[in-house]
Amino acid sequence: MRKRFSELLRIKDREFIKDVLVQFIREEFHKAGFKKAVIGISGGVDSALSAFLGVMALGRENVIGLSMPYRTSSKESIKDARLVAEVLGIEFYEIDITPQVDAYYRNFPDADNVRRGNKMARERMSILYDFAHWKGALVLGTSNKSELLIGYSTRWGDAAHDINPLGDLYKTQVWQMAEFVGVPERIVKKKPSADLWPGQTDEGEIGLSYRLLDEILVAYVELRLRKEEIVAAGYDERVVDKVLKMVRNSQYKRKLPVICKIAQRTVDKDFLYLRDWGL
Amino acid sequence: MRVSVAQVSPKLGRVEENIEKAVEFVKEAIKEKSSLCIFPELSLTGYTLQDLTFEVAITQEDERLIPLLELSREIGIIVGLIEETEENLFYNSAFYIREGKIQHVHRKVYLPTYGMFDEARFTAAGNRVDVFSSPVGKGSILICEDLWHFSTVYLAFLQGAKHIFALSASPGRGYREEGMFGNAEVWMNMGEFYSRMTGSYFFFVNRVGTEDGFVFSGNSFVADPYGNIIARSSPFEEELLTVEVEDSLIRSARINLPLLRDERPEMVMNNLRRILR
Repeated sequence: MRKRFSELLRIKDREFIKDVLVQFIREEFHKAGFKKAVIGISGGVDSALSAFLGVMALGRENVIGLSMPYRTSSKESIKDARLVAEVLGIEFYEIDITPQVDAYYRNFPDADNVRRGNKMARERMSILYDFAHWKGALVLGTSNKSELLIGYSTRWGDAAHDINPLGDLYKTQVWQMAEFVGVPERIVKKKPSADLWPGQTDEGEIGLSYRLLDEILVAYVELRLRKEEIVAAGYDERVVDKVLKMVRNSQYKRKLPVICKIAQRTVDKDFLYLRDWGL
Repeated sequence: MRVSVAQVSPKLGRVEENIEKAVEFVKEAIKEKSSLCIFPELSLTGYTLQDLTFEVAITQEDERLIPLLELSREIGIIVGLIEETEENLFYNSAFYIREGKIQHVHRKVYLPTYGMFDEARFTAAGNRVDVFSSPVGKGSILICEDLWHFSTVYLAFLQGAKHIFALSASPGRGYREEGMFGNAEVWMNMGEFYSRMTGSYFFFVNRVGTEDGFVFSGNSFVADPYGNIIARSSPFEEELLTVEVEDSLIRSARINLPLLRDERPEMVMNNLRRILR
């Protein structure tokens, strides 16, 4: 069973899935009347893959990359963001968010890392949307399925965007696709990090490896196995518990605000139209 | 005789524009000397309609169908849409149009309401599987989920269908296959199997395009009565696929594999009675 989970994560025909994602981006942009994308490039593998797909779908002249480091961001991240933009030959801006973040926290010098990290993610979102308006573009997202499922993102921060080509790819699948489309090896191979404070790593913070996380997620989400069945496949019960709890507790992050029903039809409940209504 | 399979990408909720597109494809099919042009499920409305169902519905008298009715003097046309009846019921239907009239209607019998599908919430279920006289011979229209229940194909087969028109709007899913989505491969397996088992032509007419991240899986195809896929469309592009169908090949297949002759509907009926008792 356990082998089956890891096997289920393998994308067999990467060329075809690349074509699907490229087609998806192109169609969703074009039919909404946009040809340009802005994308926050962190130097990590998710945003690199998104940028590569964006260029394949829209052309390099239509993708605008933004690197938005804070003073504690690692030098390596900044260098790798530049590398992605260079390899792709896209319009690229480096915007230091230190002044705006520090100006705010001068009022709250005791603010902890999470608070500051969330603020940085939202400053970046706000800059991306400013650029989107300026350039007549949509924001191309970079959230993968693993992080969406466990809520490893900042609400209205990095989780906010218009079109997301990575949202149905687990992190381990992002690696497969990134390698396939030619994201520079050192970006694919490096330890994933949100880089919100020095020394932070995703796997350190989540408390388990992405491989293990993805196996448990694929068992629960795709195969709809029950907790006991996943444990019986050879996983530590505490780890399975932890993952399922992260999924449950982060459901609010995957939803829009809840509305109290008063009338016959309510916008978030029984007013059912796709976003592509009329497109 | 030729049949054209129109793999189109309808706009969600834009009936007039979708009819315009259908007209273009039908004209092309006429140029290619086809006797019949088939469109996918909900080709005049788009697929994931939800509450739009009630806003895009068409009655059989709807004047917007006139351009298609006119073209139908030159060619048979099968289109998919939301049909509103006099009783204000809404069906996921297909109209067969010929000689300026709607000659036959199939109302989707099986409405998928699980996973990403929610059809029974919005549409009523049909309850008839029928055959009709198509320009290429007796045929039966089935819509998407109908085909996942082999009872529908069996009913068409027993009534003498020589052509199965399978209209679909199948969202792509599954990344474990080569060169296509998993569901597209299942459809091909189904087409090969059903065409061989019924000694009929099987026309799989799927759509392309995207709706909120559903990427419809295209790969429309035609299988001959021996179970061979003789033509196939691309995974993503709008295309008109025209094939030659030969009545002699149906005859040949049915002589070599006389399954229809040996069919025993009374035995089936008796068993059904027993099972349902």
